[in-house]
Amino acid sequence: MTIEYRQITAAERRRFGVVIERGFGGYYEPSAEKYRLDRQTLTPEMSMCAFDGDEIVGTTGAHPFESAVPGGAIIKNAGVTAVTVSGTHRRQGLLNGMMKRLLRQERDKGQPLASLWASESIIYGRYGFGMAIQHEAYKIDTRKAALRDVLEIPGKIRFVDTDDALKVVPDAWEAAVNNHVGIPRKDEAHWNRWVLGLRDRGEGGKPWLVSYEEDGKALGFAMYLVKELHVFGEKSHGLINADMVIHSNTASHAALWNHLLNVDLYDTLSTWRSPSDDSLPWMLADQRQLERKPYDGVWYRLMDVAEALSTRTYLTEGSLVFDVEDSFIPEWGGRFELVGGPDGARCVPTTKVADITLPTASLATIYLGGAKLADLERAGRVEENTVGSIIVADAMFATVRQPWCPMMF
Amino acid sequence: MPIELRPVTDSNFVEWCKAVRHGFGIHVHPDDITRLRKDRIELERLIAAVDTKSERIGGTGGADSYSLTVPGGATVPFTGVAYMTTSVTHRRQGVFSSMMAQIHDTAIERGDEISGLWATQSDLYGRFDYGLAINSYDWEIDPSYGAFTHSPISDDDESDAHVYFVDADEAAGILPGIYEQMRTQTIGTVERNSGRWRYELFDEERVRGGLSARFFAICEEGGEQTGYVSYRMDRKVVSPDMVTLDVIEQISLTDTAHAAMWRFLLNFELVGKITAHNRPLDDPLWWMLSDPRRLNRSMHDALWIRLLDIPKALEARTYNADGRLKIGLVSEVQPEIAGTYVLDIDDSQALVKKTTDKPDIVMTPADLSAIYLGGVTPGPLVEAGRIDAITSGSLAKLHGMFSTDSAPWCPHYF
Repeated sequence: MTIEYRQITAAERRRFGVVIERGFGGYYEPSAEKYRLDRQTLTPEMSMCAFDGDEIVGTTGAHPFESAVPGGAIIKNAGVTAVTVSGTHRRQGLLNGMMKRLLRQERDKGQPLASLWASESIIYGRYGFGMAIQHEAYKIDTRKAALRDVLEIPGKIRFVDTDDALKVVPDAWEAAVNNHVGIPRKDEAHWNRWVLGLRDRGEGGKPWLVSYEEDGKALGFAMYLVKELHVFGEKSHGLINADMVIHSNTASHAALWNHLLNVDLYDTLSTWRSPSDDSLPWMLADQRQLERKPYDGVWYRLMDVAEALSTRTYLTEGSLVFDVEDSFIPEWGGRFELVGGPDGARCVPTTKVADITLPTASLATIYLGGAKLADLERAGRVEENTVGSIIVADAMFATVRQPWCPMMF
Repeated sequence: MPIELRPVTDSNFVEWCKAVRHGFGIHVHPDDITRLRKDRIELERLIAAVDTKSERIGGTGGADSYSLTVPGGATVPFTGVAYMTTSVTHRRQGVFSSMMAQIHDTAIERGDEISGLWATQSDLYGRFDYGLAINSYDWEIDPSYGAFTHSPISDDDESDAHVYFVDADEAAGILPGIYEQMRTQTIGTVERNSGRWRYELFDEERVRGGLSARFFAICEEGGEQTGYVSYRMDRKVVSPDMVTLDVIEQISLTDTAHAAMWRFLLNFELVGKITAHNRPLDDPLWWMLSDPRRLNRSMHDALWIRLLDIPKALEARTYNADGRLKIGLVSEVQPEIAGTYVLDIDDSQALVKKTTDKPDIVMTPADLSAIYLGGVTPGPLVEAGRIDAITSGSLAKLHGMFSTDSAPWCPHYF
């Protein structure tokens, strides 16, 4: 069987959608409007597929995202998506072939990073992805979970109709993009596609949308679904699934959580994409009312180490030479000297002796400040050549807050 | 009802034990009273809150004497608050607060710098200026997903780390030595004396919770014993391959011992599930698994601490960054310690003095206690409105100074 790798053509777009959806266990039968928006948000130029003859047997794609790195700079970030291999073509190296070509294609567009949500956590380490953004899933009995202080909230919360979502959600999202590390910026087509999803929700029901605004400016929103259980005598009366709680400052965070903890009649609140250092536990009178489970969120891949490391700032001043092993795309590895601090950084290829030797996935893991090299060292995922250099690296790469990515892509 | 705090003596010890156990909803076995007295408690540190009308105990409290390992490796004298109960017949009369006050007074007189506790309820101790300093994970994993990813250590051929079973008598001779080495290198840990070891390893049927007796395995490398695990098997299950292996305690002195011990635990046949309690937040196993999502982790609060002597405690630990920071403390509970403390950190060591200067950052002693061991970062506390970062850059400074290379962990319950 000969496999050909290439982008899809415009004519193959619908078939592309069918194969992707089938890979995740569904049928692709979009409305005309949904198909129109799907074509805009994932174009042929963003795709890389495997073909057996004329048949698409493997799919990948990447959105041209932008997101903040520590220090606040916005970086180009290829948001890898739609990764499937047809059940008829397993174990023939298709994913390997597609991923190599996709990553090269995306780097050629000038993107130093790639990122993705993994369907399984076993898959992407071999392609150089490291676990960069961890989240927590929450479950709370809201009848027992009171806030310890009443915080002063300068703005207000209001319900927003689905039809008006585009008036507040993109602004609130943009505020969040600029105030957290790791949130991808979304364009108009993405938001139109998202709102269509809100209207189309079948069995899950239609979600509620509330915004947080100060002086008419949207700084946060929450999207949640409620479900009545219709069972008397049960422990819970109803469920609140807070799919998104998007905040950009202390007040929006407090106001939205205060709202969610006080939804009448529904008392079992769950979320699954809170930042791993969300302050909610510290706002509750009784922390133990909050059940917390960590969850792997977004995996990062460095495609241009020098560019990526130069773009962020560092908590403390320091200089280090990294020997980066990239076994999947070897020419992207090599030795790099980083000199950086709170005001900026410079990272360039070097021939100097390396302080630290590590696989590219380990460097991606610590890139946003979401993990420590010291922990990876204990798992054998980094080697220290200069004594003390891992301590220096952890002090430099540390961030005051953890990265966060509240939307799947 | 008038309450008087009295010492516990051999004449009221049995009644005190019953009161403690009733507080926790357990009937006390006569042999356990003897065991407690002989192996665990320090009689002079116990309190009986006696109702002077009925001459019956309405509340119990006390402390164990420990030393706590703080960042940098120093150990400081530490009061482990324990045995705290108020009888359901004596609620809301200030019994609990008066016992806590006496425990703190005694601790300070003894020269203890920090006190700490495992909380039965997580909303009890904030009002006594305790901060939650250590969280930990409970684990659950199906060992068929226990394969390790390729890495120099987990694939280390040079390591001669090997694991062997020992019986309970042999374990009693080996475990304390390994634990003692671990605790000197682990932030947040306290020692176990020989009596407490006897108490912990007691394994008659009534303490097994329906599970097997304890099994023990030791890791040895380069002729040194570098790790142990103690576990029980839970066979109360339907299908034969669904035995649960419940890890009581797993301690490693080296990364290779950790890898060898978990490779051993994840290799059992006929085990469908492994559970482990109170694992450190930064345990490397998650990073070692090729499919880490299969390690199901839930977080719970572990050790709460209160800095009893603020300058001494702050000077006892080392810091990750040098510099000067003025921390303002506000406290309704302890107005006498309120004020601004200036930390001058040079070569990782702090000199701490009170000052009349304006603070860079303001918090309660509870929140200073929470961040003290490096297990809690201050950023979320700022967002929660608990810490007020007044001068620009003070949060980043505080974060950089207080962060530690490893997360604190307290494997010892008290």
